[in-house]
Amino acid sequence: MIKILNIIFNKLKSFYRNYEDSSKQKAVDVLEYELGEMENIFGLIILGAFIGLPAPPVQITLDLLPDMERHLIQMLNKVDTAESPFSELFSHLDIG
Amino acid sequence: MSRKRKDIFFLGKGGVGKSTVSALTAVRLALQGKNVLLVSLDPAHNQSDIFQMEFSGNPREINRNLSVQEIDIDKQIKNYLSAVESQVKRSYSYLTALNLENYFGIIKYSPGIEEYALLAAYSEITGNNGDKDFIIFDMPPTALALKFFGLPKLSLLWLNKLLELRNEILRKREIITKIKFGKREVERDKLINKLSEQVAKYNEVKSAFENNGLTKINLVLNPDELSFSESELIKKKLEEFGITVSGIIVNKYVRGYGLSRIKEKFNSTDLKILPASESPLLGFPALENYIHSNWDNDTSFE
Repeated sequence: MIKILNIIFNKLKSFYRNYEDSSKQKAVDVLEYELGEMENIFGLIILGAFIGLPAPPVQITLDLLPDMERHLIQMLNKVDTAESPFSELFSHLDIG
Repeated sequence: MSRKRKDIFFLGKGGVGKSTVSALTAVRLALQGKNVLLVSLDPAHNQSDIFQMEFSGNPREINRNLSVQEIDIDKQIKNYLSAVESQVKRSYSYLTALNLENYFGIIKYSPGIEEYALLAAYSEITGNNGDKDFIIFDMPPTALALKFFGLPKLSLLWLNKLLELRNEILRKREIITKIKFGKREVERDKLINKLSEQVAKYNEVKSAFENNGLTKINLVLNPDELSFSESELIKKKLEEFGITVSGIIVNKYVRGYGLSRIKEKFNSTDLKILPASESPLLGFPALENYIHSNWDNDTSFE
């Protein structure tokens, strides 16, 4: 009897762990997506002048430019998904 | 250590005599034994014509107490852009840097780059001349001069918002690192460092502009309607930036022009009348003669 209870307890424990891990992963995924989007917004604000968006005074962009290679590449990559931003958002939020 | 040097700016409508008044002030102070640097920030330099000698981006001594320099804005822009370009080349991968190369040729024509070059020149000059008693700045005409004075405040508006966003990004990154790896340390964000450096830099310039005791902003006008109206506009715009006008110089004054309006409009500022000169004010001796005959010993613009 005790053996059976132990097995059940362990199963429940492992189920809870898996559930916790997957919830954590899901939360981190959403946070990472949000972080990525904030980085994109930052990149767009600073580098917007290159594509005709309202931008801060040019020297602010130029002073930050040497440390913004990642943003620049990210923006170029974003061009591929720029036409369907909702599909990307929905896939991250697991909708549909 | 507190700064003893005073910076004096002369601005006003094109053609009112900013350069001449700047030169007269510089010569007068130098004659009093003060150590003076006269800087022309006006792209259409006039100091070479006034002193009748060649000036460049490096200060040239006129006498023991007085040096003059004329800032070459195009050179300033070129140097700044090439410094950014070489930093980009150092930190970017070859292909990305190659793609950006074409942009640098165009950026020099970007709106805003000219006033930034002036501001950079101002910071460099004030930083390198702590030993001077006075630095006199002969400013460009109104539009560019106002952009120059407004740039620190405008830049700070952007920078503070960008810093807020960057801090929020860093906070999110910290949370993710903590959930994933159970620790809070994240890599130091270079962009936050750069933004903070810029905020400190512009705050310093902004405080210098707003410090009425160390920075004197003087308006030069002529006894005519146009320069009077433009001076009113300059005063109003500067007040929007938190900058106070210290003095008004009515240059090329001819007897008969009523000064009551000027006194009424600019009542809290010093007023100085400089009569029209009978002969052209060209060369050091002519400036010296004019000062002896027309400029008494008041200290209004110091």
